[in-house]
Parts: sequence; C-alpha cells; structure tokens
Amino acid sequence: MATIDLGKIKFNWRGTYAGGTAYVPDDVVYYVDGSVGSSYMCVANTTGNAPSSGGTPHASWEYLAKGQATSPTTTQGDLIVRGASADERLAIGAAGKALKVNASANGLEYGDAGAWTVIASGSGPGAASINIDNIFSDTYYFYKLYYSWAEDDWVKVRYIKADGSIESGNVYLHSGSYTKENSAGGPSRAGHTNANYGFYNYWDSADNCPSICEVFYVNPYSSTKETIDFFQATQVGGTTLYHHHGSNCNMNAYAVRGVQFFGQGGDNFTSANFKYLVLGAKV
Amino acid sequence: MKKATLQTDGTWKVETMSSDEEKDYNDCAASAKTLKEELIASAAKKETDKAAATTKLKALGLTDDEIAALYG
Repeated sequence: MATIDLGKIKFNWRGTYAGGTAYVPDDVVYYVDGSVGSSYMCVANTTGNAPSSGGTPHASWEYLAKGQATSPTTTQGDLIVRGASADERLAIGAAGKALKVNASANGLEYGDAGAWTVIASGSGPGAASINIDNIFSDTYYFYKLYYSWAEDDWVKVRYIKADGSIESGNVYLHSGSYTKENSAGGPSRAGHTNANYGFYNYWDSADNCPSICEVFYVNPYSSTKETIDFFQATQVGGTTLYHHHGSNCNMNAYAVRGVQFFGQGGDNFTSANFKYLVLGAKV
Repeated sequence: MKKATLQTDGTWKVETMSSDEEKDYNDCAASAKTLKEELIASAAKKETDKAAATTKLKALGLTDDEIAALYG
C-alpha cells in the first residue's frame, strides 16, 4: 500500500497582528492587549478585528497561549490594584499613612486612618525646658496632647507663636479645681490671672508615680482666635492622690504652633521620665 | 541649664539656656512657689475654719450628720 508523506502539520504563523491584513482560520498571530502579550489563533476569516480588547477575545480569534501582564510597580512597597479596566500601580504612601478606600469608594489610596492622627510622639531630651514645636497647623482643627512625667515636679506651659517665639508676657489666665484623697483639704480651686505661664499638672508627683495628663486644644493655629486649652491631670504625692482639671487661656488672638513645658528647680524632662503623644483631627 | 526644641524630623535640638532664659525660668519658679504656698495656706486655713465651725455647731446641739449635711 502506498504511503503518502504529509510533511509537517503546523499552524500558519503570521507574526505580529496587523490591522490591514486578512486572516483565515488557523493563522496564528502575536498581539499585545493592554500590557498583556498573547498568541491567538484565527477561527474565522477576519480583517481589521484585533484579536482581543480588554482581555476579551474577538469572535474571530481564540487564545492560543495567553500571556501575563507585566508588573506596573516601580518602587519597593508599591502595590498592584485594579484600576478602571486593568491592574495599576499604587505607589507606596508616606511614612505613617494608612491604606484606605477613597472618597468615591472605587479605589484605594494612602492617607490618615481613623479620626485621630499621630502628629508627634517621643521621650524627653534631657532638658529643663522643652519646646514641643510645630505640632499645630492648619491641617487639623482639634488636638490632644498626652504626657506622663515621673518627677516630683509640676508642669508649667507657655504657647509658641507661629513665628517660633515663645509667649512669655503676662497674658495667661488659668482656672482649675482639684480634689485629693487620703489627705485633709480640698476640693478647692487653683488659678491665677495675668501670669506669664499656664500650668497643667499642678501638684508634685513622685518619681516612681508619674503625673499623667491629657490636654485638649481647638484650632490653636487660628490667627483670629485666642488659644485656650482644657486639661485634666492626676498625680500622687506621698500618699495623697490628686486630680486636677482646668483651663489655660492666652488672652491674645494669634496663631500658636506649639507649647513650651518647664518645671521647677531645674528638673529635667528626660527619656526615662517623660513621654508624650500629640494627636490631630479634622472637623 | 538646658533647653530643647522639637525638630520637624522628630528629634530634639538641645542647647544651653541664655542667661536671660535661665533668669526667666528661675523667676517663674519663684512666682509659682509663692502661688502654691498661698494656695496651700488658703486650703489649710479653710480646714482650720471648718474644724472651728464644726465645734461651734456641735455646741449649738447639731449632730455630726446634720453638720455633714450642711457641708455638703
């Protein structure tokens, strides 16, 4: 019986797809759809119909071997997210920022997470007077400052103006009250008028029992509003527990960008005895 | 005496206080000490007055509960 040699049976390789070329079944082309390069096999006569669009093959074509999209990332920490029609690069965010859904709820972005954002935090530098500077700005409206100071001392405060100078005039008004337990005296009030400082934790605390304080500020960077704060603090002196709450007011309207803390008798704010945290929130 | 200012990168810049700044610090400490002594003296006087008033009220025949009610 005669043998017929059919030769090699193979696809008809047509190279890279061209829009003006007529293709017939079993033609095979290479085509890049978006960023994905694939090979396609023609299944019906066609001219001018790209093999696929947005990842979907045209009716005249079928995938022979589908490629993989090249990564859109360029930098360590980048993420790949789905965009409107294809994967996209989301660049790494700034330090301290969190990943969240955008305002249109159709994508991701880096930004501030939660209501309160950490503006500054740390320990004392080993100084009798510390300027916790550049913590207030137009970025946030509400601020909270927390601190603890394990020192037999109390914290006086002055405001730092927008130009960096410290308000040391007789412009501070303080009003507060305190209660104490395990000791005679109190509850009572504590305050002063036209002093050149305000104060937060008033009563001495013990070195092994830090005074702790929370201070609240509203829009201190406003140039047209007086700066006012509200605080509450607690500390132990000897065997007496004190709770002090009150307010300080700077009787001048100008922008305040930070606070100066200082104590009595040269006691230092050190890395061992002083910790602080500043938070900001928008309206 | 040292002073320190928080920098935008989160570090502290520590410097020696000027003579004027050190004087201001000490002046504030002195005025605060006076303020506090006045407050403590005022609180102590209040306690003394309260004890004296209690003694007088008892002499008038008020019970301890009645006196406590007056003080709130």
